[in-house]
Amino acid sequence: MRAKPVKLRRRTFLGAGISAVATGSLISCARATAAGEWRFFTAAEARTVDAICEQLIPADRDPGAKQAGVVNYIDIQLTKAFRKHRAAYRKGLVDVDATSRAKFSKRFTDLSGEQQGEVLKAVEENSKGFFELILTHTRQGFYGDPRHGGNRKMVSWKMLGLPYPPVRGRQHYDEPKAG
Amino acid sequence: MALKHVNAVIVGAGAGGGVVAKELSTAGLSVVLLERGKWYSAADCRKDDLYNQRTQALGAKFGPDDERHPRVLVEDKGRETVVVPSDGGYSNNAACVGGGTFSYGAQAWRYMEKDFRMRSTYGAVEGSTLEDWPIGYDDLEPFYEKAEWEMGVSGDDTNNVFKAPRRKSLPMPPLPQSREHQMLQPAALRLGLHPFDIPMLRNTVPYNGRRSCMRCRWCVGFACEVDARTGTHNTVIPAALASGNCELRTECMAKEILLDARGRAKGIAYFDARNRLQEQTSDLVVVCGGAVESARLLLNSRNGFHPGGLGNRYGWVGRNLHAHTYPAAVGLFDYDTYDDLGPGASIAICDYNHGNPGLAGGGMLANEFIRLPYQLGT
Repeated sequence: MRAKPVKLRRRTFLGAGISAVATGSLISCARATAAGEWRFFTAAEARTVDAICEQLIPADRDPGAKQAGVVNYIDIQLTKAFRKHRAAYRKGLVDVDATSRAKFSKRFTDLSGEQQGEVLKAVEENSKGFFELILTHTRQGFYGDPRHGGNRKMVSWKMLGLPYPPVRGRQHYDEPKAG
Repeated sequence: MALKHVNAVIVGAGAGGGVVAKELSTAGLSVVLLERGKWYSAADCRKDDLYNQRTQALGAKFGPDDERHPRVLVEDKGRETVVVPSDGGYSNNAACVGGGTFSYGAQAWRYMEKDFRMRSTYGAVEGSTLEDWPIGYDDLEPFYEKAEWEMGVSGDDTNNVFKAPRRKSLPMPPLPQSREHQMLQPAALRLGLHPFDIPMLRNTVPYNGRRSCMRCRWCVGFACEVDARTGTHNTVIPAALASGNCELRTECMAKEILLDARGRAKGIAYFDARNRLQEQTSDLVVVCGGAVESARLLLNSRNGFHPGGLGNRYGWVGRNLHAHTYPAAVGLFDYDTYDDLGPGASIAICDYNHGNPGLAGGGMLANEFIRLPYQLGT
């Protein structure tokens, strides 16, 4: 059930030859939601979070938050270490959509990137607590260890040029004799 | 059932308690060493940039745990809230055998002479309670030397012209220079400053039966995988236990200092690992719980002789505490500065510790500890 659409999309990617980054995010997005296994978020909430995170760390020549699976990190942690932030997310996401509807009469996920940026600027002013929270969590999910659900395929570490697995004692490789 | 009476009970197996346990037990006294956290080892280096003692994004790896160790935070306007270690505002320090020394950066500074005589040097500073220490540098110098050689300190501060005189150099040389070090040293010299290699509690050659630093990324905030970083957990506490006179009890949280009819300390009441209340009597009680927990324990120990808590006749216990101030400056370069070599911090200047116009005191400047990917990206 799950492998099939992914395979199809990969073929589309090969055929279309459009930007690898953009298609890459399509793939990862589809994988996360098609599985329908969000632990805390509803499917709609997850799409909103995914879009917010991508605005905070957008793809450029390197992958952004969407492709890194940041929403997956936040969703997992909301059942563990971030349990205390559950109410803040529920309310914060309602506020984001409300702001979006007030400004553009559309859901946040239906807006253009530029409009989403405008909505987030308003959210940063009016719900500073939630904005800072999701910004911090986005950074963690993008740059943190993949074992926690984000940084899929170590995209940020590859961008930074950091070796993985973490080299155990550079001195043993770089210098002939330790100590 | 009452626990067997001992000569000394020590609260806290961190930087202070570990040293006291070793000195007393090797001198022949029977000692019980209480620690609220667990005993971790080099094998507990998880290499996780979100779950460690440094970044704490997903919790503090080496304690204290949220469930057992809440604190009451009193805000500026007097409002009281209960905070747990993973909250901001807790002033978290590791709670485990070795305490902060288990996962710290391991800089091994000696005080400078003026640090002991702040009031004499700077006078009464308005709005402060600045005082001189009752002891001076000369009183401590032999003990600095003993600690440096017994525990093992590396580095080279010969170029630090501001340091207080030392009789003996450090027992181990510094690590080879990192890229940052190679940039900062000539830059500092060009500015007429006095850079030198930071004294560190870190083996750079095999020392005391432990091997040398392998310069990995997982340093401050992590367990040292090769046990090259030095804390009380791998020096004085094992020595205390080897004496046969010291018993270490982990996951034991002190409740109060027991007082006799004359108001003198006679032992410790504590909750053991299974949360049962225990009473350990002793001739001596040594409180080494860290600035915050030691103060709490003293304030919680009261009777008719000490209505405001033990040692608190003047109401100063637990006041005027602050963590170390840690400002940072970041620069953007048009070439690579990061070489992924631990421990990171290696070069410092003490040109601005004292004698800054308009300031009482000052501080040393050093390069930062190695940044993890999560810290690099933020």
